[in-house]
Amino acid sequence: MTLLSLYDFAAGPLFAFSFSVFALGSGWRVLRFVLLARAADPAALKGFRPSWALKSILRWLVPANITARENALMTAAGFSFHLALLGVALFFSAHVVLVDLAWDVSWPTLPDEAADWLTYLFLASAAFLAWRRLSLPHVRALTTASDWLVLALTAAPMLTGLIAYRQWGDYDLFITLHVLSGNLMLLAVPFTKLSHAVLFFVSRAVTGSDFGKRNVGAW
Amino acid sequence: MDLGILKQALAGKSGARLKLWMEICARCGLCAQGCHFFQSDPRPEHVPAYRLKPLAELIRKKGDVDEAFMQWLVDTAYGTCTMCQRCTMFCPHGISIAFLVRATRALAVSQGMTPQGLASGLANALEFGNNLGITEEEYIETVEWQLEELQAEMPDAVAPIDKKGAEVLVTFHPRDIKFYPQNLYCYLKLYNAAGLDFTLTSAKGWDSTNIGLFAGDDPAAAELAGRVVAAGENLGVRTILTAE
Repeated sequence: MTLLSLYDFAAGPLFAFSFSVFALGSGWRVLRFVLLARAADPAALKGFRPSWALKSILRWLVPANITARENALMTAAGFSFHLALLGVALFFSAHVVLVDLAWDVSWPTLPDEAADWLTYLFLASAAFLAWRRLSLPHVRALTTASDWLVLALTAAPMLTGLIAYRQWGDYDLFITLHVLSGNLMLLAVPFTKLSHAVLFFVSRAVTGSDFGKRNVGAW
Repeated sequence: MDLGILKQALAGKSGARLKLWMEICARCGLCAQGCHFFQSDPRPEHVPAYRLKPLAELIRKKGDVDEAFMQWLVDTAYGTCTMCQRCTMFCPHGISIAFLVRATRALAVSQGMTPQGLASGLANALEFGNNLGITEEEYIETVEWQLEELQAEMPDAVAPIDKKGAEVLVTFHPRDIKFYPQNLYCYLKLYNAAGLDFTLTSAKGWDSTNIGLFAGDDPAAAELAGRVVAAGENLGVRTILTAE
């Protein structure tokens, strides 16, 4: 198999497969929570307070919470990391063109220069997160091998994408690595802590509802 | 140790929330900011997320652990957490670490490994209706004594016991009866000054601190909570005021 046919495979059938696993698997993770909660206690869902759940989610989707106030640097790194990743994945022109070619749907794109800067911002945030894991003793003590693996899985498509776009190395090689690592990241979402992509909302909703019942604020 | 019972207890605790929270903890350590253990002694073992380690390990090993492991579990789950939930306020995912610590404690309970001090308090609570082993007679006497003192200052003050149909049932932390009756004096003064239509209960259930809940002993927790509810229902109150 040549590099280019590997690329075609990774960007075609493999991507369709990875994306399906990502979407269905993530959906299943949410559904599984609801089913398990209901099996344990049919009344549990009746006590759910949607408005408190929503308040809690919003307070953490925009940084309006106690951690943002007391740990501003980590909050900045976390937001840069996530927004840059989503921004480049969804709005980089080449990505949108691929979707347009495949399914004939399109949406506005980021200027390439902005995507470039977002990628640098992402890599800087990722480096900060890695540095933090290594240098803060209490974070180092918590860190497991899977934390490094997941960070690497997330950073790899951004790094290889940048190298390919900038043509710093062998373009065919890096664009293939880029698409392969992107697939791997999507595949990992339902099976690792990356599932927080969807379970963040479930977890915050549960806690927001619990705290709401006690009238102690939408943490 | 009985591994069968341990595995059963683990399965019983592995519900929706446990699975959710054990799987999405990012191990970022932001919870450390909210923990009074960590703030006063910043050791890695004092980071709230560290308390998930024994449970994570136990799940990974499917319950096949030894006595030394369980001792580590007990030391971590009971020795480094008061279950105040401040860490949850700092967690971006809103993970209830106290919930997971309580699940971990239940595993210790399943092996009869509740720490001595808690176990004796719990035995007291089940036998006497309060975790300090105060008898009903001592309790009533303390209330009457403090009421008498209060009446010197506030002649109309009352402290009704078992008054049917009162609005509020007032319950206590037994510490305030046994060691700090001055607190009881202050509560009574406050409720009288506020004109609250309240009653106390002579039944088991006047202590609303649920040491069974704190110890991670579910049947005991249900029994103790049930007594408070029963006391309230028997008196027909609308509200139960629980102790700090």
